Amino acid sequence: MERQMIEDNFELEFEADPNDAIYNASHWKLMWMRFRKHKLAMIGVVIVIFMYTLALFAEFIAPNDPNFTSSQYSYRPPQRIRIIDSEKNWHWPFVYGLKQARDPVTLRLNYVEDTSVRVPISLFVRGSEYTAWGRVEGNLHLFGTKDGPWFPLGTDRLGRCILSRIIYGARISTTIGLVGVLLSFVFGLILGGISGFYGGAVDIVVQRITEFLSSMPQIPLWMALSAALPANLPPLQMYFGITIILSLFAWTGLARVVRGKFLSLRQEDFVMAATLSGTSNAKIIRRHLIPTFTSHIIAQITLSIPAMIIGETSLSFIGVGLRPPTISWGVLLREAQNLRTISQAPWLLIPGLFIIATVLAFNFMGDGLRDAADPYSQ
Amino acid sequence: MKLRTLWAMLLTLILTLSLGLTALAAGEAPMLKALVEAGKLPPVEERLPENPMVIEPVSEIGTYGGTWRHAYTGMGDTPAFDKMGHTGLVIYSMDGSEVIPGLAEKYEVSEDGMTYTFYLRKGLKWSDGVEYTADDVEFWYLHEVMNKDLNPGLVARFAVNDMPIEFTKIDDYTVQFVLPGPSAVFLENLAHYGDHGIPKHYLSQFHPEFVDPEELKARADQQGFDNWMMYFGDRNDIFSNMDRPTMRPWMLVSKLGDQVYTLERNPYFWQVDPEGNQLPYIDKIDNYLMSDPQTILMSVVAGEIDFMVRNVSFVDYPFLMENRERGNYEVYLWPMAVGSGWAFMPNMNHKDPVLREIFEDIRFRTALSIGINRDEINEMVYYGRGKPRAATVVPECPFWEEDLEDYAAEYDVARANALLDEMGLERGSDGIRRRPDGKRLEITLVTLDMQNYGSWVDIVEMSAADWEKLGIDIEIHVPDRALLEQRWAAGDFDIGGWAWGRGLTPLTAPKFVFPSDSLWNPGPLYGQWYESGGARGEEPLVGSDVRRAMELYGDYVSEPRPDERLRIGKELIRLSTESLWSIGTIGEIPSPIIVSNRLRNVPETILNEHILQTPTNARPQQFFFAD
Amino acid sequence: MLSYIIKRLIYMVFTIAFISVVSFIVIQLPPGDYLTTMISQMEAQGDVVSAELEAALRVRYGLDQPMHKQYFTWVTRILTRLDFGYSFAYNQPVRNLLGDRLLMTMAVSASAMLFAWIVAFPIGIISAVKQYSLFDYFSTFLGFLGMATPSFLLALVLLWVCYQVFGTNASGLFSQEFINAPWSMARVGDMLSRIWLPMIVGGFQSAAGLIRTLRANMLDELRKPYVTTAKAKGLANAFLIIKYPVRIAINPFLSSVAWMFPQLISGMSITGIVLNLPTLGPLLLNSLQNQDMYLAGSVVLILSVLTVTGTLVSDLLLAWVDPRIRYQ
Repeated sequence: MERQMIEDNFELEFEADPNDAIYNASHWKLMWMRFRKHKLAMIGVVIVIFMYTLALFAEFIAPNDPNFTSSQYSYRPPQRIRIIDSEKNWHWPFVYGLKQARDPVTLRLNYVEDTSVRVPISLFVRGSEYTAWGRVEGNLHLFGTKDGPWFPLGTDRLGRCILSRIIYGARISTTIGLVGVLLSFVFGLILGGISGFYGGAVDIVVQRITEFLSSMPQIPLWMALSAALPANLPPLQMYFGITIILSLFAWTGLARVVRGKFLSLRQEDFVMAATLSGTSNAKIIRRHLIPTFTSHIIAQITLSIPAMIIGETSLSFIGVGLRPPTISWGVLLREAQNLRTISQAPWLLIPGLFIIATVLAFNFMGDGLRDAADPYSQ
Repeated sequence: MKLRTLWAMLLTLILTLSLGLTALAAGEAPMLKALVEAGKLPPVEERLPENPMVIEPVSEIGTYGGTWRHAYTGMGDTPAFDKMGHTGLVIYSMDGSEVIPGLAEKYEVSEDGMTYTFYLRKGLKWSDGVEYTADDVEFWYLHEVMNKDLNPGLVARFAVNDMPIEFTKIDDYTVQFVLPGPSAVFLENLAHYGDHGIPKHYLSQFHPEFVDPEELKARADQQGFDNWMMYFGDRNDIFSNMDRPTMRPWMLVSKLGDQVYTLERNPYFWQVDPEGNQLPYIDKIDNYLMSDPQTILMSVVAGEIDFMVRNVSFVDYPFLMENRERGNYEVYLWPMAVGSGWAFMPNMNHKDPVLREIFEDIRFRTALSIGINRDEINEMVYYGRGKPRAATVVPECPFWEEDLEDYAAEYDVARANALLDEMGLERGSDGIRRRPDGKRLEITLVTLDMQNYGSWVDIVEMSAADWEKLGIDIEIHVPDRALLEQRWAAGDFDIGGWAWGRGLTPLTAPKFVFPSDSLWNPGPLYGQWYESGGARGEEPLVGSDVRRAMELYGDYVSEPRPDERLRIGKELIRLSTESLWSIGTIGEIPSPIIVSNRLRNVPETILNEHILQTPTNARPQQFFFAD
Repeated sequence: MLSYIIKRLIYMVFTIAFISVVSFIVIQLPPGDYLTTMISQMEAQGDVVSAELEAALRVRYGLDQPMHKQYFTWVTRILTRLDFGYSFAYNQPVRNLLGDRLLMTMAVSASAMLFAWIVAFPIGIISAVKQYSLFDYFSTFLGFLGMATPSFLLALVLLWVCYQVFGTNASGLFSQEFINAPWSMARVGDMLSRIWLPMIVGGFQSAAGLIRTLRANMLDELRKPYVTTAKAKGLANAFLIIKYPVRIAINPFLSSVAWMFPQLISGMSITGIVLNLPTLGPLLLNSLQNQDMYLAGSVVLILSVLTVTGTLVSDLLLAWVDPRIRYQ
C-alpha cells in the first residue's frame, strides 16, 4: 500500500513539473547527466572516439604507406616539427631533412639534421596510393610532406613509418576488443540469462561451467589454444581465432553479472512497486528492467575491452598471437620488446603508449558508466 | 773477474737447465695438484697418455684457473656444451681445411680408399681414470651403433651403398674400418660427429649382451624406463648423467635444468700445450639457465658472460658494441660458413603444373634472382657486413671458384622484366603478370620466424617488395616450424627457403647442393626418391639437371683419387649454383662472439660452422684468464 | 556449514579432474611434440639433428604412444606415488623442478600482493571519501596506469633503467654467486635486494582492481543512513570512516586475497620470463612452448588446484566474515 503511494507520488511529481529536467529525463538522459560529471570518463570517451577514428580512416590519416621499406630510412628518430629555422626565420611548420651515417665501429645508424633541406608540412597532400575499405582508391592524406620524407614518430629497422603503422594497427587492436566482447556478450547473455531465469539444475550446470573456466589459469590456456591455431591461417581468420580464444574467458564474468542482475532485479523495490501498481510483466521488463540492466551490461562490457586489448598484446609478445605482416599494436610492441630498441630506438615503444591510453580510456569510461548506470541512487 | 764470469755462466746454466726441466715435466692445474698431494689422484705424468696431443695456443702459453661463465636456454641448447670440447678419433683442424688425428695419434687410408686404420694413443684415460682402448671403440661400434634395438635401421654414415661398414679390432691400440666401397665422406663424418668409443667398463652394465637381460629389464623398470634402450640412452647421456665417464676437456658435475649447470676440468684430459702443461687451462664452466634471449643480452652487457658463441644475434651488434666497455667484453665477428643466410627455394615438385612449369624455367629463377636488391637487404639486415652473393660455397671450400658467388647476383630489374616478358608472362591491366592459363601470377612465400642467420622474415618481406615490382603478386606466410615441416616434406608450398648452409663442406651432407632428402631443399619429392633409393617420392627425369647432379654425386663419393674427386666436386657445385635451384641473398654473414677482456687465446676470426663444432675449432681448452 | 563445505569439496575434486583432462588435451593441441620443438631450437642455432637420433629419442621419450595412454600413465603415477612424470626439457622428474619454484612463486606473489595492498588501500579509501577530487582522479589514474601497462614492457624498461643507473643486471632473484648457494642470511639478503622489481611490476598490475573494489564498496557504505546519522551526530570524519565503513568495505577486499593469488601467479608468468625469475610462471610458459607436456600439465594442474582452493577459501572467508551471506 505504501509502495503504491510512492509510485503515485512519483507520477504526481512527474506530472506536477513537466519542465524540471531531472524528472523529465529518460533513463538514458539521466545516465548521461551523471556520466558527464565523471571527468576522467569524459576524457576516456574522447580518447576512445579518437582511436576509433584513427582505425576507421587509417588510410587517409596515416601519412605514409605502413609497409613501405627502405634502408635509407632505417631507425630514423622522430623528426622535430619546427617553425623557426636555424637562422631564426619563421616558416610554415616544417621538418629538416636527415643525413644518415653508419658508425664504423658499432655499425649503429645515426642521423643528423640537415639544415639545408627544409621540408614543409602541409595538410591534404597527395601521397602514397591506397585502397580504403577495400574499394575506395585514393592518394589523399590528411597531412604529410611533398618535398621529402617525414616520419612523425620515426621508423623501425626496415624504415617503416611508425605513426602509420600505429594508425593501421589501431584497426585490429581496437576492434579485437569490440568483436571479442560482442562474442562474449552473446555467450554471457544467453548462458547467464538462462541460468538466472530458470535457476535450479540449469543454473547449477552453468555455474559449474563458469567456475570451471575461471579456475583454469588464463594465460597458459590462451597460449596453448592460440599455439594450436594453424599458423598458416589467413590473417583475417587468425584474427577471429584469437578473438574467440580471448572471449572464451571473458564471457564468464558477464554471465555472472547477468545472472546476478536477473536474480536481484526481481526483488528490487521499484519492480515490486510496478507489479503492485498493476503494470504488466512485459511493461516492467521493457520500461524498468531493460534500461537498468543494459546500462550495467554496457559498463561491464566497457570494462572487459581493455583486458582483451592487453590479452592480444600478451599473446603477440609470447609469439603465439597475431604475426607480422599483420599489423596490430601487439605485433608492433613485440618488435620493440628488446633491449636494443629500448636503448637505441625508444620511439619504437610508442605503440605501448597508445595501448596504455586506450586501455585507460576504456577503464575510465567503464567506471563512469557504472557509476552512472544507477541514476536514481543519489 | 774470471771467477765472477765463471760463476755467472754456471748460474745461467743451472737456471736454464732447471727451467728446461720444469718445461719437460708436465704442468697441471693447482686444483688437481692439491688432489695429487692429498693422494686422491695419481700424478699428472700417469694421467697423461704416452704421446699426448699438443695444442698450439692461439697466442701465448696460459695460466690455470678461473670460471668461464656462460648462458644456456634449456635442453634444446645442449649443443652449447657439446661444442665446448667435441672430440673423437680424428678431428677437424681449426680452419676446417683438413682432418687431423685426435684420440688416434695417426690414421692410414688404403690405396683403394676402402680401408681406414686408426692407431690410438697409448695410455689414454677416461675421466674416471680407466684406460681408453680399442675395446671401447669396439663396444661403441658393434654394441651401440650396430645394435638392432638401439638403431633399427642402418646408420647412414656407417654404410656405403646400403652395406654396413665392417669393424675390426686389430689390437688394444689399433682399430680398422673396412668399407664395402670407397667413400669420400666417411672420414669427414667421423671428424664431424666425434664421440667414437664409449666407456665399456661403465656402460656394459646397462647392455643386455653383457648382463642378464631379465635383470636389466627389472632395473630399467625400477628406474621408470619402459625398456633397456631408454635406460641405456639415459645412462649414456653425458649431459645428464654425471657418472658417465668422458674424454672431453670438461666433465659434468651438476644436473641439467639446474639454475647453474656446471662442468669441471677432466683430470685425465689427454691434451697438453707445447710446454707440456695439461689442458684445459680453465677450471670450471658455469652455465646459467636463462630462457629469454633478452635476459641473456642483459647478462652480457652487465659483464656476466665470459665467452659465448650462441644465443646472441647479429641484430644486436650495435647494442653490444655500445655497451662493451661497461660490460668489460669485446665482440668478435666470426664469419659463418653459409652461402646464403636465407636462400629462396622455388618448389620443383609443385602440385600445380602451371606454376611448376614456371618454376622449372631457368629464366624465371634468374629473373627472381636478379630482381632482388641485395645491397638493400645487406644494409638493413646485416648492417652492410654480409656479402651479397649466390647460394654457393664459401671461399674456404675446396670447390670454390671465383666467379660462382656473383652468378645472377646483380640487381637488374630491366633484365628481370625482359626475361619474364620473354617467357610470355604478360602483365594484366592491374600490373600483375598472367600465367599461361590466364590466372594472375600469385605466389606465396613461406618462411620461419628465425633470427640466427639474420631475420628471415625481414629478408623475405624485402625481397617480396622487390618482386612485386616485377609484376608478381606475393603473399607471405610465417607458419609454425612443425607445420612447415609437414607441408615441406609433402611438397606443398610455392617458394620456401632456408639458410644455404654447409658452405665449407657442401658434399658431406649434400642437401643444399641438390635434393638429397625431403626437407629444406627445393625438390622434397626428388629428395625423397633419392633418399629411399627410388622407393618413394618422385623420380627426376633422366637427363634432367637434378638427375645429373645425383649421378655426379654418386661419382664423387665413390671416387678414390683426390684430384679426380676435386674435379667432380667442382663440376657438381657449378651445376648446382648455375641452376639457381636455391636463390641466394646475403652470405658469409658475421656472427657476434662475446669475449671477456679477461680472456686470452681466443682467435679473432675463425669460421663459425656446425660441421666444425664451433667453438670446438677455436680450441676452448687453451683459453685462459689473464687475471 | 559443514555440509556446504563437503559439497564444495566434492565439486572441487570433479573440477580438478576435469581440468586435468582438458589441459592435457589442450597442451597437446599444437602441431608437433617436444622433439620437433627441440630440433627446431637446435636448428635455430645452426645445429643439425640426424633423423636416426630423432627416431631413437621419440621412442625413448614414449612420444610414440597414443594420448589417452600417456594421460592415464601420468595421472596414475601422480595419484599412486605423487610422481608428476618426467620433464623432457630438463631431463629430470617434474617433482624435482616444482618444490623450490613453488616456494619462490609464493614469495614473489606474496610480496607483489603486499605491494598492491599498500598502494590500493589508501588510494581506494581516500578516493572514495573525496570522490571526484583531484586526488581521486590522480590516484585512480596512477592505479589504473599499472593495469594498462603491459607488464612485460614495464619489466623490461625497469630492467634497462636499473642497468643505466646502477650498471647492474637486476634480473633473476639472485646474483650469480648466490644462485646455487645454500640458504643463508646472505642469500636471503641478496634475494631481498632483487625482489622489489617483480614486486613492483606484479603489484602495480593488481592494484587497480583492488582500488576499484575498495572504492566502490566504500562509496556504497558511505551512502548508507548510519554514516549520515553519525555525521549528523558530530562524529569526527576520519574516525568515523576508519571505524565503520572501512571495516565493512574491506570484507570483499580480504576475500579477494584467495582468488587473486593464483591469478597473480598466472599473470606474472610473462613478467617472470622477462625478469628470468626461478618461479612457476616461466617454467610453465617454457614447457608450453617446448611442448614439454608432463611438466606443463603438472604446472597447470597445480595452478588449478590453487585457484579452486583459493575460490573455496575466499567463499568461506566471506561467509565467515559477513554473516549476511547465506550458504547455497
